[in-house]
Amino acid sequence: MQTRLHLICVITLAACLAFSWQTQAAEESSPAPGRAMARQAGIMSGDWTTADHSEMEKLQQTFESGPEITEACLSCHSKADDQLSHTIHWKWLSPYEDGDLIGKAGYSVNNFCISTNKMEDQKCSSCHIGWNGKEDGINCLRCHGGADMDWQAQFKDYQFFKEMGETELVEEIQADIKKAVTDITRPTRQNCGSCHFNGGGGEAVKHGDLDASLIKPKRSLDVHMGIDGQDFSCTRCHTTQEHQVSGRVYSTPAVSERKSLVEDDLAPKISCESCHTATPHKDGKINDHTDMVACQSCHIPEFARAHATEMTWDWSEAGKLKDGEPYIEKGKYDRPVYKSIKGTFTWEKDVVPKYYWYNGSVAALTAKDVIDPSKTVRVSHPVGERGEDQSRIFPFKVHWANQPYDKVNNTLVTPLLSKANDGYWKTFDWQDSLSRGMEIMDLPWSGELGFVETTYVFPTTHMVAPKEQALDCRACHQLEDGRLENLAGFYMPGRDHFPMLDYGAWGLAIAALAAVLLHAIGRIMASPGKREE
Amino acid sequence: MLKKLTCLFLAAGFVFVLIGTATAFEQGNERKGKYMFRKNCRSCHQEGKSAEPLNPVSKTQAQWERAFERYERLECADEWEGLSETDRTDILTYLYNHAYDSPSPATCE
Amino acid sequence: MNEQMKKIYLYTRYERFWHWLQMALIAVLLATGLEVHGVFSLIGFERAVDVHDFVGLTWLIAFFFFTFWLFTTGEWKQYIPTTRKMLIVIRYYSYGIFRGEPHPVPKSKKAKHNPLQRLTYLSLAAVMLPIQMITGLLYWSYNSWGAWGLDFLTMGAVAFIHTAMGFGILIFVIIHVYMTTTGHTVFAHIKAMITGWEDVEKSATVEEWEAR
Repeated sequence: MQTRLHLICVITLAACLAFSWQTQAAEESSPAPGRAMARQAGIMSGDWTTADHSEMEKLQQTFESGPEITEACLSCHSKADDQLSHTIHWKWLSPYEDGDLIGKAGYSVNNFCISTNKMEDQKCSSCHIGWNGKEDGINCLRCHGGADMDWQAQFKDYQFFKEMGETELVEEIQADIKKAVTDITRPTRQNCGSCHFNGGGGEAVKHGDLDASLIKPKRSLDVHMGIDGQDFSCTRCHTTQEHQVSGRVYSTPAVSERKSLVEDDLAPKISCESCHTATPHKDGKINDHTDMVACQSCHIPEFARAHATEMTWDWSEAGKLKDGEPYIEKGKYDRPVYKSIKGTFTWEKDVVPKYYWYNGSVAALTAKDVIDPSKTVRVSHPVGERGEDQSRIFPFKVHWANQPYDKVNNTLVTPLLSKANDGYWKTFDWQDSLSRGMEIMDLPWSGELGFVETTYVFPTTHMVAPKEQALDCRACHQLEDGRLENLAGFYMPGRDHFPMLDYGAWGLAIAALAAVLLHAIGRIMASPGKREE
Repeated sequence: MLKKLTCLFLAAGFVFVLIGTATAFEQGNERKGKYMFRKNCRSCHQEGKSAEPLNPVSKTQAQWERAFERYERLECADEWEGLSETDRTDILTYLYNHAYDSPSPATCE
Repeated sequence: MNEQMKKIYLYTRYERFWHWLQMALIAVLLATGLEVHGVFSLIGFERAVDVHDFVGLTWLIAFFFFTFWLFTTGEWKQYIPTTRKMLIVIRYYSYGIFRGEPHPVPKSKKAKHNPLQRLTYLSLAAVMLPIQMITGLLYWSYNSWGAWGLDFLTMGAVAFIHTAMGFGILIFVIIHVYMTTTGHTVFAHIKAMITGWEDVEKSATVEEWEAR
């Protein structure tokens, strides 16, 4: 009877062991569930197009200005301008709020170049996808042109040499224009990157996870975009509907539904889970994290891993001149640490992100909001809290600045900056650039200039590292200096302890040890007498 | 005495300018140079591109002249070979006239 | 061997197997549990968690078999607590043992445990271990609490109890291991748990309550 029981036990245990190993082995051989769907839904090569634009009759003409090119495009793509004119890329205003409050062209401010002054600042609007800032209509080639071309200079040169009668040069320039007009692509990294890699007035200034290193990244920098790996273009994830590109983060999350292609093959492909699902790991315990921790938190161990990114900007130092001239001082990483026109900067590489609960929305101040200058002002901050359905722990770049504000009205102020506008970068006169800048915004300006410390946040989501580089558990599950040290309100194994319990328990354990030791000593001392007996 | 000194200075200055113009290159078409520079050089010498960003104020007049005298040593010497003598002169003219230490440095934020 | 000693077959094969399996499981669970708790670094957090989870679940399954065995064989009676002779046993361990007195409650087939052992093992097997297994299972299934209607639980509370019980078991292990050396030779009890044969004094009689 007992022998049989014993046998059953051993067999069951062995079976349990065998079963658990086997399931693990079986899982290893099955591919990531969403990958095949993603492959089907995406475009793997350049062979997707059914049109060769160099054969289009409409494009075989002499183009003397940008709008003529757009007209040619619209003669076939008749809905494109209407579609585009509703997008945030064109309007620079949030499509989710009424009016012109939120957005670059509205009253939104940041702690870099602060504001576009309703797109009046010419340097800022050089990134707008029109032919000439916000003038002259849509430039389709900003996003769909394969050739790298300074169109404004090109047409200026064309006109100049035409008037000079330099026929040979005119022909050369026109040939270049024609070649560029027929070189049509889906938006490439260069197209998107020409603005998005250079946000904030220079390469890698604004985003720590979006810079020119992504044009030809190694797999180790970006496992998706790596040219020695998957070689994704931006549009693989940033899918588009009627020219509305998914993935923008404003007051509304980029995705509100956590749905994967496995559940819905027409779901947008913008989130990690779109392709990887909510249970992407072989190890079940790691999958248990995905309801609380965003993929990015562990899989982007640091940002700015190739190019240093700008971390602080002190406007209050701007305006120093050498021999009456503005100057630039370069520092580490060969990046400017001082610019007369902008102030002092610091740059950092391999930056450990800050982690916050985040439901996908970022709340931001506008130039109309009243601030409390006695504390660091959060120009933007992630929205979300623990326990909220959509909120997860997410990594952020936090950019610090010391920026101008109105000491009387307690508002952030919007100086007019560009040289072309005779702004601060030409005059170095805060009063003039601020009174004109605020006038454009139709906002009050008391004339009392102060500087206030501010922070601005960027969700870190690009530059996903290969899985070998993902964070170790101990990065967070650790007693001191863990990455999630600042997040309170929940118990995390390895990080959190009950000090009283720990002290008490160790005290008792040591007492027990001491007691048995004393007891043993007592027995040893007593035993010789016993032997004599 | 003062007069004599002024004279000497003037003379020295004159000689200096004379030597200066003698060694300086023959000026080309600056406007063409600007175009050729944009087309042939800036395509790579730009932020985010393969080569170090360059514009006229990146170097002094002397530095530009030296670079053009010894372009065979540059990494992109092949591209230079593709340009005609006049093209090169035009480009140098543009860069020289708007160099960092020129009277009218190129304005670029 | 002492002349006054006789050998009795005290521990069955399954009992011994269970004891040593349990010892191994507890050792692994204590080590990995303390590693997760951040006391030391041995095999790394992730592996410690994996091993702890796997061994914990193994123990849970094995424990069902032990309970089954306990009731089908009637061995559960060995764990019925009693206060009789309790004070005498306590007096023995705190005084008599130093004077070389014989154990006041000798082991027998029907009464493997003295009153102190009964109380300790009962509280261990019926209270501490089940609590540890339940909290461990909850800890492991944290993500399913919502689906199981256990939303009122907090991680902190479960972790507190699990940690406290873990330390309780650690303290038990310290004392238990020491107590094994209190036989008529230092290794006598350990040997008995390996071979199954325990040496008991010939004159020992089984008292009425023990044979119940």
